[in-house]
Amino acid sequence: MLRFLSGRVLGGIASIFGASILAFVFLRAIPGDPARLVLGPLASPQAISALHKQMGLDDPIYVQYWRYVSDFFSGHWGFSYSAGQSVGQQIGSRLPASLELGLWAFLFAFVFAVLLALLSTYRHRPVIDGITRALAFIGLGTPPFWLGLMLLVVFFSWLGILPGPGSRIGDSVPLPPKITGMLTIDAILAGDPRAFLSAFVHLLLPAFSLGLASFALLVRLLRANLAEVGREPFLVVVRSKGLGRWTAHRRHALPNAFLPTLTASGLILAQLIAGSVVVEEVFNWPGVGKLVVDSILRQDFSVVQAFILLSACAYVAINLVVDLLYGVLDPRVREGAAT
Amino acid sequence: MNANSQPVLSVKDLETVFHTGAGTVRAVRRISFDLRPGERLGIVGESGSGKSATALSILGLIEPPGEVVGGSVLLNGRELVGRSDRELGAVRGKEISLVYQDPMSALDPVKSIGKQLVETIRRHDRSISRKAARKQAVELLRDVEVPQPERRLDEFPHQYSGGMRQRVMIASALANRPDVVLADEPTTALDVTTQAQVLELLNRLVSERGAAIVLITHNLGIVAEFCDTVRVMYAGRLVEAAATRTLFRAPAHPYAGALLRAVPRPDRLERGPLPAIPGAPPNLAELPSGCSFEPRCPLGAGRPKCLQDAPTDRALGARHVECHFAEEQLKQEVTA
Amino acid sequence: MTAAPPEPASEPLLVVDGLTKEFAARRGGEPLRAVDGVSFAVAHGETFGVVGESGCGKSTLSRAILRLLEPTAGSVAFDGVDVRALDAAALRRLRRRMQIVFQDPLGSLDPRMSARAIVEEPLEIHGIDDARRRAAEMLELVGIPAAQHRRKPYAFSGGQRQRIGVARALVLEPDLVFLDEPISALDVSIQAQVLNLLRDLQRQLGLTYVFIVHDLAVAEYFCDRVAVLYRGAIMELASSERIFRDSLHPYTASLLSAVPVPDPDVERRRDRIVLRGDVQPLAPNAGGCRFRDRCPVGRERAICAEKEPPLTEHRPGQLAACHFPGEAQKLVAA
Repeated sequence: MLRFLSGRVLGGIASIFGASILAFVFLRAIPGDPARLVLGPLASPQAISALHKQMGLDDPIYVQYWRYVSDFFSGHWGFSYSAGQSVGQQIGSRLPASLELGLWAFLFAFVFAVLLALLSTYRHRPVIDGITRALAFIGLGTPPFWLGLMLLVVFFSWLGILPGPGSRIGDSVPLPPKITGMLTIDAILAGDPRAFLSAFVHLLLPAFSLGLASFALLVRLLRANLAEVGREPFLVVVRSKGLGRWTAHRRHALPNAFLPTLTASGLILAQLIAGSVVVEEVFNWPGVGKLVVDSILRQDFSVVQAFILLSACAYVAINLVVDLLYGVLDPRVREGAAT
Repeated sequence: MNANSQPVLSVKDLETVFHTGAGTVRAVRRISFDLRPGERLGIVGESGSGKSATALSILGLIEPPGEVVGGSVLLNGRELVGRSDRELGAVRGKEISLVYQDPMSALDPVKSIGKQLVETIRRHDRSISRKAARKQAVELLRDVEVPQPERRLDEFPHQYSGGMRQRVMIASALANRPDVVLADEPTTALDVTTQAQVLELLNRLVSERGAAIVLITHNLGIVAEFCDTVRVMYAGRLVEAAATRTLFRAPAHPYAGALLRAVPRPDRLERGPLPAIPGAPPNLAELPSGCSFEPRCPLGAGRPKCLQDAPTDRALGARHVECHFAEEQLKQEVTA
Repeated sequence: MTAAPPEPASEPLLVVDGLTKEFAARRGGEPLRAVDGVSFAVAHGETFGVVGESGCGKSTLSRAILRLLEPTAGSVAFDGVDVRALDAAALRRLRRRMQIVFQDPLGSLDPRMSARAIVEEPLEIHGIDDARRRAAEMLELVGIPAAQHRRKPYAFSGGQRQRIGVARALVLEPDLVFLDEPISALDVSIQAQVLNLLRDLQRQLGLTYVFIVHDLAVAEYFCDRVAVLYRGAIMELASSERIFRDSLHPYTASLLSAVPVPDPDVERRRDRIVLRGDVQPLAPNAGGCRFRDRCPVGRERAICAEKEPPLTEHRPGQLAACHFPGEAQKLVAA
């Protein structure tokens, strides 16, 4: 098991380095001069070359690269020239919001996917199955921004039962003490049900808009796997022992069907956490996605570089967890399948 | 085997179909048999005969697109056909159980053997503690000759060999002392020496626990060795029913006769071409109107009566057979 | 471990000598010897049977001989040519003369190719003209009528698929054909058909067969000589008649004993050897006879635990690897 893990960790580190090189190269390849962008079109050549020196753009490429990587891992994420703020601060202030949104979106997607997939397959139920597949189809085809807007129109404008865009928690509700920066979690940690409820209600619409496509992907995968596993001989044997359809399906089919979806789930989670620009835009959610897009447009290298490496680390970490989970959930991986 | 007691399992006119894209497949076409306490009944058939569907139909485990469309199954006098899944769940694994083929895929790969055995035990005895159930499970493993049962209880199916997995399945099927065991090709996927072991085990346990067993197989040798009575199944119907000795000495149905001749035997050295049965089993979605065996029948191919009239079950001495020309078949066997 | 196999009259077509195939162990530890010093010779036109249960190495053996897997040690001579010494091009030419029919009729056929295409492919690979006609003829020869040549595998029954596999193997007009469990996946009544077909084709085309099977009854019926394989080594090698009537090795006796006889009178009366324990596939041999832990004769005996018996010709034309040949047979004298 240890050898298995260390192999994966090494692979992960290699991935991160690969991502960093790619990020570095591509950003430098974009036409335009960052110093000029900062100083404006009327800047003097001396000012530009001075800023060049200050930004370190005069140094040889490999020096720049090394500085980039070592700075990242030592926590010095640089200075955002377009915003006038340290990158760490910028990203740090906005990351929890994206994280929270992504996590809840994933939770919704996952829980509903499992429930619906189970319901569609434990018995021959063409109606429920049809509904599930229709939902999946709609989910895959619906652009999140349109969905978000429609949801806002219906639930905020017309019905007025859910809050509108712009805030993560009700105006009158005091913020729970900041531990993670994720309001719902901080509220739980502080034992503050009112704050939790308010934050949760504000999350509902954006998380749903963000999560629907993921739900669609997951439910299709799970449904197909469950249907396939459901046909395996051991299910017949389990039923012949006297177990009911639902119990047999939940206890025996689901764990087996779930394994192949682990990888996909991990990828989906990583993607959701990385922030969805569009949903953040629609709901005016103070997340990291919008920040990154703006920085790209402004050629603010520091922000983009830091973000890319951060994403790479997140993906690698999640994949490591997924690999670990395979070992935990599937005894054949643990003990080495013989036959 | 008590010849005068009430049958523990009584199947009458059981009929099962599958609605597929290619038409309605009539897998089980009104079959009937009685199983007495302690009896060993063999059902011999090849693929496409409907034998597996029979076992599942009896247990009520046929799921859409299949369905049991008719007939009755009486277990200890109580009707099973038409009962709800919950009612049947109380009976499955307790009064009637299943030993399935292919031990490779018949056990949940991500759960330990112990957990799966305990599940069987606790399903029908909610009062038993987990610890006590585990103890029982260990005893069961010991009974089926799995070495070091305490340690192996927590291992997983992939860590057991094929023969051992099959023994676990037998243990699971016999755990709650059922009255009837349905064994569907229990040794097909096993090596011949392992097969001999498993059959010996099944033999012992079934006798010890007084269960009646329906052994479904395509292997005539196993039937000869193991079963008291035999049913031959072809295209969804039971075409011959007799005591094992009676059938093997002289089969009354041409299919049974042809099957016996087509198999190389380890005790008789044969040379020359095997008398093979020409053609292939019929498509159960498009069955001919006459006898379903007619196209391949050494006796009946092309005969007008066989082409037009599907034979029905009739008594012939101590046996039952579905053939217009069973007497002719018997005469051939005697002179052969 | 070489013993002189019984030399058939003419020059043998295939000579296997001390063939060994090892697989690297997974997590350190000893390598697994799937085939361990196997030697035998096959004469022209003979049907040579290799019988064994799962894990005995019989499939690995055929692949090692064909160099579909590279042998670890030993030699293979086909028609006098050293197979292991051939380069890629020469090996390819040789493959025309040595073919194999696989066990799984569905798995060994490409589901996207028509029957005709499947049988044409080998001809195309070897650059032989007139592929279409040859393929069509071969398919007809194995009993697939012309009207069906365009169909894909899923449209055929198991028996028919196996016939297509046979056609594919034979279309190159090989001299030697390996039949790897060709009938195990088929129904009983179809098995007889395919066996008869294989017999006929052998006569018509002058083929030599190596028939790999786990069913001893089928091997006895179909083969001239039989080698009984256990854990990678030959336990007994003799004519099928001898194996059937007068075998020497305890494992052979157990195999015979274990096959159920379709005759209740015979079946219930005879004594049987039922082996204890499971087949230990490919586990490294701890020294001594590899069959000893399950052997009714050798389980308790010191010499069986210490010394591995060599394959010896205990009777003319009959070899067995046993310290006490013939004893097990006395246990079941029916």
